[in-house]
Amino acid sequence: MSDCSTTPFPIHTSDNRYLILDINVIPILREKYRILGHMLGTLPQIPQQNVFLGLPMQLLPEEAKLLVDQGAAYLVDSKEVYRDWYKSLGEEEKEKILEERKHAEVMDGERRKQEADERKRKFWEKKRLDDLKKQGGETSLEGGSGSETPTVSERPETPIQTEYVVAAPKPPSGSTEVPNVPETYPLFKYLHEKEYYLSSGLRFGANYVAYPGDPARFHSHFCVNSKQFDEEFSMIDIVGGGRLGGGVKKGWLLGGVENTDESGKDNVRAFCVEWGGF
Amino acid sequence: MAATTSSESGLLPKASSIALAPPPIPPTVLETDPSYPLLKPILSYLALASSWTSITIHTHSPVDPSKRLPRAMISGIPPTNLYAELEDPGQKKEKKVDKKIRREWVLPSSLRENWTLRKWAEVFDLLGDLPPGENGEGDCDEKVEKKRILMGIVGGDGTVVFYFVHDGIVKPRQN
Repeated sequence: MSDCSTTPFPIHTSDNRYLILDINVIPILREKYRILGHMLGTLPQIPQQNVFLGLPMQLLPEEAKLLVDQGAAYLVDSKEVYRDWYKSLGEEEKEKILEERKHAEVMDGERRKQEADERKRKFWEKKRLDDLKKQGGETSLEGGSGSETPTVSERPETPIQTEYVVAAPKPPSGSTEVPNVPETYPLFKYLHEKEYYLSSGLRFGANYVAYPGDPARFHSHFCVNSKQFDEEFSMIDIVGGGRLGGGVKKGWLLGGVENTDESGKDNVRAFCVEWGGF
Repeated sequence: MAATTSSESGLLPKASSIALAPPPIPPTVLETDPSYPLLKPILSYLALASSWTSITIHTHSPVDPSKRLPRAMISGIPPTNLYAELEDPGQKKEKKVDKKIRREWVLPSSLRENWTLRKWAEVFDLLGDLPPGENGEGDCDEKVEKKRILMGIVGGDGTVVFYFVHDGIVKPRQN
């Protein structure tokens, strides 16, 4: 997909999640649109690890809206696309897919069974050798048989045939569907326009974390919290926010929509809080 | 009257660098001013504990003297520059020599009250880049990109803490 930098790319939506399924889109999002997303896919065998995550990439609703508004992406309802694709299949093809899945399951089961057998065999082999050693110090007599490495049965090299069916994205129709975004969106957009990279601020107890460049190369500058312009907050929040930001070498940025002009554009104003230092 | 200076009291002409009492609260500060009960602990802290000098109390906007500030504010000169601006490492040495200490705004507030973004916006809109000095003129010609104030928050037991608030996006100090 070399043309995905020019054409709008699909964002697959499902249950208010916004997913990117094409790996080629991700570097473009990052470099051209300063959109970070969040990798979701993990390894089926080790679902707990979160060091190596891959596709799909989930976007914040704010990120998805930004892309859709810029005309860089369009939303695709995963459920609909899947349903259409399934309907388009003939009976024979459905059979074939089912058959393949079944085959894959059987093969997987067999492979596991073989592995378990192998472990058992090794265990008993080791036990037998240990017992021999215990019986007499003169194991050297039987050294020949003792050092004999148990023949490891070849792991069955049967690659499981998995067919990834990625539903073909439909071309951008005139759909006006736009992601639902939280109230914090205007501040998100404001900072994004100021060339900040933004990611979820959950880890720092904020709405967003703002980076002055690619997070792979820069430390973040701000914990970002959005407020309504007349929303009351307690003084202890200022102390807490300023302190928390300072503790992780960040400023604490508070902002909101000060007013909306006639054209409907939100005018955002932001304030940065830092500990006074005395 | 836009500003009242502490030096009017003239109690200690010889030892002016060491304050023994906080500057008095000028009569221009009304008793209904939200700052009124907060000025004393903040002034004491600044003058006595932190050795600030040239402390001034402002009740009207320095930009437009016809407008009253939402609450009385304090300005003063701290003993050292409070906010070490980020500079190019190469330039640091020569610049340090004759840099004047910047006069700071202090906005009194109480831990018990609630705050809003609009309150900050109102305050910043009435302030110039730098607080006027004792003679009504700026005593530091530093170039200001973003206005800043120190929020002095008075706790229940008289503890005062200070937080910088910048009007706009300001890259944080490298702590």
